[in-house]
Amino acid sequence: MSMLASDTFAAVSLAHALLLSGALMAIGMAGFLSRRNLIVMFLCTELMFQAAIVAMVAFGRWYWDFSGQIFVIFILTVAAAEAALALALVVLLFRRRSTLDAEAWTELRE
Amino acid sequence: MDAILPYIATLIAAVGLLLVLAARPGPARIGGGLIGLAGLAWLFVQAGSLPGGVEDTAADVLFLIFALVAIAAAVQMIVQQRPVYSALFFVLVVMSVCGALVMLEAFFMAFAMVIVYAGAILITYMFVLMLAQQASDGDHEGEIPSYDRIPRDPVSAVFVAVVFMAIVVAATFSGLSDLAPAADRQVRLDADVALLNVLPEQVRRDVLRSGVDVVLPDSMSGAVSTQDGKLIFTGVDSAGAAVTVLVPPPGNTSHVGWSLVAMFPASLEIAGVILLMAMFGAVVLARREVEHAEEALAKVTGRDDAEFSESKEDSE
Repeated sequence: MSMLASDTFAAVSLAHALLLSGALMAIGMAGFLSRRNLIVMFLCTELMFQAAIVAMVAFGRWYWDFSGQIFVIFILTVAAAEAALALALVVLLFRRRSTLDAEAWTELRE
Repeated sequence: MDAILPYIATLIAAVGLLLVLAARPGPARIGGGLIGLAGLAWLFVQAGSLPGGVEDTAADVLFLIFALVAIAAAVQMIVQQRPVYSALFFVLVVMSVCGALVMLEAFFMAFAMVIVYAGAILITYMFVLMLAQQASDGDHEGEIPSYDRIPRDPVSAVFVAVVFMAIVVAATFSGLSDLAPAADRQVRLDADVALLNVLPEQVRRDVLRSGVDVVLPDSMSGAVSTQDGKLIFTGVDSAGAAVTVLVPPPGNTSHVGWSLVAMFPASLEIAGVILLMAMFGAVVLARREVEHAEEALAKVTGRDDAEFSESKEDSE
């Protein structure tokens, strides 16, 4: 308990938090571009949400401004809405082509 | 020379990521993973000397452990060939990010993330993954479809990722010294005082709980102040003498909750509407009947109509 009350608890370097955020975002980006499975592509967007969350909380702690954490709540909202809609779309697409391959849907490109 | 070391570390990590993405499972992939983690660890070590200082080495070391677990799990997530494993590794990413959030003193958000992400969103993903599994025909029992085995153009994907990472590294290594200074202890105390003075009921409860003989005034606002880095409530006891009571600082949840309703009430309502609309949208989208859906389903699940009706009769 004394650890939680002390004012130096969890004094994490801002640079480390930003690098963690950047690395997660970069990995999510690489995954989104290189995977061909629709569901895994959407999982990669969730990974990028995690990166944004870490950056927001880190800066919010730096300035002791709780808006950073409030925005995390809104990110969670967007992530939940995205998961619901995107997964409904995936189910719909899977019913039409019975494959999860993103390359099955390339008519618009050609 | 020192200025380019972070970029070299980024490049090493990128080479590792490329090896992991492009190579077949085996020694090359494991080696790539080790190279990538080593590059990232070197990057983190270099960042340790940046301004924005570490006040508590133990917390920072714990944060770094969570960070490396999160990154390793994220890489596993994007290279796993079976999407179910990807989803499970994403759970690990969420858990480690929550650990990192605890280290950043965002306790409420950390637990909300476990509940919402690991508890709700990931379960939805798992359900859809199970629904959308392709049936394997007899010869290819358990075989992974080619779109899960062969990545699409990993070189350009890693290139985009490394360019992004280089921008983040540039901003971190050159921009941190330009930031306004971090909030010090006084700023945090002021925030605590400001919060307690708009939450009179909480102060009243804390004062009553302390058991000190004090007459509670009708208006509690403005009664909390700081003294020697502590929060105190100033009042009078029943004999009329001035008395001070030590008040515990409000927690992270109080701060987040008050900021949410005081600063963003309209956004909160809109967030609720977005969730409702998403629910309607998901129901409308997923309910739509597709032509020949039954046949496709029969083909996917690998049983023909005769079996289907047979099993129906059995159940009746």
